[in-house]
Amino acid sequence: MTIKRGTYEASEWTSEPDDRADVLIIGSGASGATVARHLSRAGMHVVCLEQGRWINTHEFTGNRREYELSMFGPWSKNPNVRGLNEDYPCEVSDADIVPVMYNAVGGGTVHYGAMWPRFRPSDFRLRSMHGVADDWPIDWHDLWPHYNQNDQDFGCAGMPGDPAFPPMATPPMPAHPINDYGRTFASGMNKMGWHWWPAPNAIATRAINGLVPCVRYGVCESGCPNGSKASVDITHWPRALRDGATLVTHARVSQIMTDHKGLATGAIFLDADGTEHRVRSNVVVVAANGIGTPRLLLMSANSMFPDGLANSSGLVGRRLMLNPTPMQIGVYDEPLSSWQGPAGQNVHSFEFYETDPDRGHVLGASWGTMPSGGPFAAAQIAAQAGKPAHGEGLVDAVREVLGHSLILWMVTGDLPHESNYVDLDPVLTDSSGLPAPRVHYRQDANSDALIRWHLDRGREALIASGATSVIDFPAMPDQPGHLLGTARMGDDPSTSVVDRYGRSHDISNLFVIDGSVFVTSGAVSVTSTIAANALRIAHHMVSTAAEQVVPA
Amino acid sequence: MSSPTLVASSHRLPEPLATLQEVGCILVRAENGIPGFAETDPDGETLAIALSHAGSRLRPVLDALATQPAENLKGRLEELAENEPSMFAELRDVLVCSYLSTPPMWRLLGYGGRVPRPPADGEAEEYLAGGVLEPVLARGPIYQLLEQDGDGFAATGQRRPPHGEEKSDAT
Repeated sequence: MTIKRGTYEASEWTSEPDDRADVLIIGSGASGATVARHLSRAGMHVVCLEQGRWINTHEFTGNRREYELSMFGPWSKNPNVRGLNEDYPCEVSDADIVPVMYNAVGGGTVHYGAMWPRFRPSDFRLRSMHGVADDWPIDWHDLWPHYNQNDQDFGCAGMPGDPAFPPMATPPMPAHPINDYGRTFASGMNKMGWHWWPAPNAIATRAINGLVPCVRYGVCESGCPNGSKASVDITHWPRALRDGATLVTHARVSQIMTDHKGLATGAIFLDADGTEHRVRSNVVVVAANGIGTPRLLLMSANSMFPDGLANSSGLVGRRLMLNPTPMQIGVYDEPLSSWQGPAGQNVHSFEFYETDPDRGHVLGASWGTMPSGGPFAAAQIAAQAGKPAHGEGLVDAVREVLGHSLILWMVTGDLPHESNYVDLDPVLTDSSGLPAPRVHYRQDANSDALIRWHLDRGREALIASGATSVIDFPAMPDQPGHLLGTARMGDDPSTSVVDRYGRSHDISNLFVIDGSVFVTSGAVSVTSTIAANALRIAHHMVSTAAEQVVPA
Repeated sequence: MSSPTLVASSHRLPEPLATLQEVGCILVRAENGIPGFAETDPDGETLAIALSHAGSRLRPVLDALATQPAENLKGRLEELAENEPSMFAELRDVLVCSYLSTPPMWRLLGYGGRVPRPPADGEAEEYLAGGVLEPVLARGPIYQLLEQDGDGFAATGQRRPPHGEEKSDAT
């Protein structure tokens, strides 16, 4: 075996024709890292291909004056804005929501807010309960122990006893302070008689898993310069590498290979110079997010699988769900230091999470409060309210909002529609000449109604908490990057892409483990559920390794 | 659109910073004791940072502005706002962000900036003092538990109505 252990650039890759890893993982984000860590600990040789690079915590701009300016360029959440070589562009002219993502070791966890709620029992049973979408082949009992384990592995700071959820293990760290603005909002929720609770975040309140305690820069979603947020480049990869994993950076996969028996045999990848390499493996695991995963499965079409891998159902790329996310800004007379983090959530609410037929729509939303940012964020908020975006009155408008406001954001449930899908763009390519994904997404009438209803309730809560004005953003400028549903799991191969363990119905040694497998979207931040499901699948892979069919 | 304020720097900045600063002066002029664009960043230090991050996004608009004589910049900007609003908005946002990222503006706004503010011991508990969570706890669980019946799953947990309200939204 000449495949080196450890982490290195794709240009340094060497292997002999007979070399074969136990498991190849494509993508190093939340799900890929979770599975890599678990399988490596079980003694398997895992090779992970990541098209991005390692990001050093000190590169993040959140503790520097340039922070807000850096969002216009390479630190944007939008790959089309970043335009880095390791990104792939997304064709979005037919999309109501522009997806956000990040390509680096750690994937989306580098740029997520680390809000750490769980799905609720009802999320797995929408068809049975409300006659919409589909039931999952698993339920909340299947994920609960893995949520508990991931609270430890990532590092969850939370307060036990939230009556919005079935009992769960006590998080390893106490919750963050809810800050002045969280307390202000909570007072309004109490006046309304509505649920709220100090929100769980995968952000450290004490040293854990390589993380250091949060100092409330309030910039979590653009990378934590303090190393406090549980991105898996910090929490998972060092452990997986210690256990013998191989993590290859700047390795862009162009195709998953299959043999004449229809088994996956590994992948072809390109290094940063465009030189082609091959890695062979017994099992291939795709963890490239709800857009990157279908893109890769479709790009891997061959004579045996002309419509793409794992696509006999025709559902690869279909049923894309993005959790449309509105937000509201409550503006207050009193100073609230509302640039102070984490961001993250301070307070969350599940008062209106479940479907209520009397509302005229199905599904619901979770709510959470966040800091409202720095001076330029304040200017943008004020502009949304019709205040001057430049010129006379600009500074007065900023003063009204800066430090005197909070964000109430609402993650709404999203129904899966086959008409919302990802395919390959016939023209646009990435920097390697590979087809870009083309995103087709129309926000449906249910979402429109749901959002209107929740904005009305949110306004009531904010006014009750003392807000002097409320500014609506029916669509949050930076959507949360929930990329779900495009390789759904299920028991029926004709109506699903993978089985309940993420195994392709068509190719028995090909797994999908990211948010692509979600049957429904839930109405919460999704990373904890993506990771819990990945951990569940990893346990299954270990326990069934002896029976796993592998290529000759 | 406001008239330009005289650039306060003692020397002309190199291009494209000079053009950007001139545009900034058109967009944000001094008024009522509030400094104008160039006064907050006379040497273009913050503007250079802005350009380093947003340069590729600004290139089209800079190219467009460069086709006009310098004395006609204000007119060209008005034309841009009228005919190419998204391009104008891009330029405006970068420049307003640059202006609001300068130390003089942070001082003026009372913004402490991106500095560490670790919580004090007991701060988390302090925010929850005074029984603020009691109404939430008094209501009890609000999630729905499900059990399998012959035809599938059904909700069994009745969400408790808030504050004596009779109606339940359990389905």
